Amino acid sequence: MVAKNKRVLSVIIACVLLISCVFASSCEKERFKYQKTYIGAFDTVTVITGFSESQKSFDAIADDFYHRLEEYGRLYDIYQDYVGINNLKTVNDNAGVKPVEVDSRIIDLLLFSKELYEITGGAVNFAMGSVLKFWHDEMIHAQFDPESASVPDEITLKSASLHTSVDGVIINADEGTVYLSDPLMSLDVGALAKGYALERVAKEFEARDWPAIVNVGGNVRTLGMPLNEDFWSVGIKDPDNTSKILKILKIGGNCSVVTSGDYERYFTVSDIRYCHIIDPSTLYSAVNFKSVTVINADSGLADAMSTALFILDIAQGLELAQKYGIEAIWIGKNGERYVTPGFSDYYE
Amino acid sequence: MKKLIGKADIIVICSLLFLALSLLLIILLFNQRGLYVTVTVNNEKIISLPLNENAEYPIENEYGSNYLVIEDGYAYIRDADCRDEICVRTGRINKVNEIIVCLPHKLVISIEDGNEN
Repeated sequence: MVAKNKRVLSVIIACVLLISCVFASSCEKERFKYQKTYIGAFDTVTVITGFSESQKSFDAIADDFYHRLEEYGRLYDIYQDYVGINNLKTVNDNAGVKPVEVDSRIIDLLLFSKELYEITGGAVNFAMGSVLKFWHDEMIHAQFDPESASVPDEITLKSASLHTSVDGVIINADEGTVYLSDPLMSLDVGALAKGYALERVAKEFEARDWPAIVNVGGNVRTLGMPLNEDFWSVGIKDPDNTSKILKILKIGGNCSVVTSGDYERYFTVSDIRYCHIIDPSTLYSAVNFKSVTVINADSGLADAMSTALFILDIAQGLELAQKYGIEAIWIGKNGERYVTPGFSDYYE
Repeated sequence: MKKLIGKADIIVICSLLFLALSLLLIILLFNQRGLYVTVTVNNEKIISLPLNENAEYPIENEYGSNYLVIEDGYAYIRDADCRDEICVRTGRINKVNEIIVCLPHKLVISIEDGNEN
């Protein structure tokens, strides 16, 4: 009698366990970490890392995110035309000719850029295309023929700088048009377009319950919190040895980390490095630092600020950072480091 | 008085435990069987090579050339004809999700898990 009851009891227990196992596993599907790398948008590398139920569902949402980035990339492109789209190149090509009807995403970017021009005291100037063009051309020239690379001449740059006034950018938000009144001026949004676009796309994905971290050429934006750790880990590269990580930052959800540096896009003439970030006050490459890393919730602000802080000196930079709630770390030419007071919250 | 758990019971319990652990071990080993080095050009996967087999793989296309080496469980670019050689300076990778990029050549080298979930 006892043995039979024992058997019945154990069968019941087994059934309960089995049912609860099945129930438990169907209640919350397990998610795994995946990563995908893309080349193209904003002329750089985009790495998307996120948690999804399968490779397939990850690829679907990551590709979706990347395609949205590509759309912004086409709109903000100043080098290429795209059939059926009026983008920034279209606006530039019509400088001094006529207003160009553009997507509201361009209007929004330019209004944002105007604001950043004001708050950075002109350090980030989106209307400086006429000057930047000479540097871009030299960068490409140096890629094909490093020996014959040369620095743009001062007089050329100075006369180009006469056509960089933001007052020449006429934005009509109601009509949805942009007109450049100076035929020799052009827009160049390289200092903040990537971050601005990333922020816009990220906001669209925040509601989708997809923990992820997206890195668009050094512009990092987190979505939610990671499922396997307390924080996202974001490394700051050593400008002198990019296979080394100087510091690992602990970053929370819906936050941005952006780095501007002189160690990836540059050319060399007579042993002097000329990086791609140009100081509007000198018209030559910014020379104060090797890199600046900025932390802020908004990717667009972080991108613009990383450029501004790279260009300005440390005193101006610290003042600007504190005024706008930016945390940052600067790495100087001799390896010296500066940080904003709250920066240490982000690492151990 | 009968014992609550007899010797036979203990043998059964231990055997089942041993069996379960062995199965778990086999599954784990099976999952970690292979890390792969994946070569992607212009967002298209070209080839996946096992990380644990030494190999040299020249990558040559209309964008340029990069020389991939897999050695002692690491992958790295030994040489490339891009101007900056950032891909070469990146050094060795061997962990899942680590990548080497040659932007002008639209090249991505990544370490991937052998098993897709």
